[in-house]
Amino acid sequence: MSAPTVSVTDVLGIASDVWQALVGDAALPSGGPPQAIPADAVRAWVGIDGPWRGRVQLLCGRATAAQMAAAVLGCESDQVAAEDVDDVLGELANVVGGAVKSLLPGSAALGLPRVESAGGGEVHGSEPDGRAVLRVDLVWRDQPVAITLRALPPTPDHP
Amino acid sequence: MKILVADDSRVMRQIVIRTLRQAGYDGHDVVEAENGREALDKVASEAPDLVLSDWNMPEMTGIECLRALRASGSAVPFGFVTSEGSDEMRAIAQKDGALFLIAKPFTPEAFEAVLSPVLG
Repeated sequence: MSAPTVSVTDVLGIASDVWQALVGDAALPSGGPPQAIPADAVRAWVGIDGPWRGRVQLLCGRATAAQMAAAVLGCESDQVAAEDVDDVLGELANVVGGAVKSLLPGSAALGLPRVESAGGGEVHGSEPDGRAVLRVDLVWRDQPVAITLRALPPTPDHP
Repeated sequence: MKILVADDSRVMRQIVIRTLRQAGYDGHDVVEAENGREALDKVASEAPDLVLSDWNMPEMTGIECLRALRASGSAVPFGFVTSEGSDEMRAIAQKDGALFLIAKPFTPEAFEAVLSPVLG
C-alpha cells in the first residue's frame, strides 16, 4: 500500500481535536498559501508499520514548539525546559499518529515518538525520511505547523 | 486510594494527573512509572488500587505489563490511557484483563465515566 486511506479532512479533524484537548486552543487550516516553517525548526514523528508503512510527522518552529509546550503545561514559554518541549511535541505526534493509525486498514504497530532538530526546513535525522504523501498546513496562534504523512518502502512482511 | 500512572511521557503523566483532579479524583495518592517494567515493580511495592497505563512504552509496554500482572495472579484494576483507541486495541485490552481503554486526547468527563465504577 503506497498511500494511506487517510484524507486531508481526516487529518484536519484529528488536529482540531488534539490541539483543542491538549494545547487548549485550535490549530486551524492555513487557508491561503502556507507560511514557511522557520529555519530553527523541530520535528516529531511516530512510525506506523503495517499494510501501510510510514511516519506521521509534525514540523514547526522551535519557538512555536516552546509556546505549545507552555500552553500544555500552563506556564510561560521561557519557563519550559527543552526536554519538556520535546516531550510535548512527541506526545502531540503520538496522539495524532495513533488517531491516523486507527483510520488505516489492517493491523499495524505504532512506534515510540521521536523528536529531532530540523534546521532550514531540512531534517537532520539519521534514518530515511520517507516520501511525503499527504501534508496538512495548520496555523496555531498565527504560527505554522505542518503535519505530514510520509510513506516508507514496503518490507517483505508488508509488500 | 492510590492510583499508579504509567506513561513514558512525563508531560502526559502530568496531564493524566491533572485530568484526574478535574474529574473529581483529587483526594487520591498518585504514584508514577515511566514504563511498563517500572509499573510492574510499583504494583508490587506500592499496592495501588488502580493502574492507568499508556500502551506503547519502552522497556515493557503497557499490554506486556498487564499480561505479566495477570500471569502473576494480580487482579489490580487496570485501564489504558493511550493514543490508540481502535476496536482492535480495545478488544485486546479487554481480553487481557483491562477494565477500560481511554483514548487520547481525553476529557475529564471520559475519565469520570470509566473511573466512577472503579473508584466511586
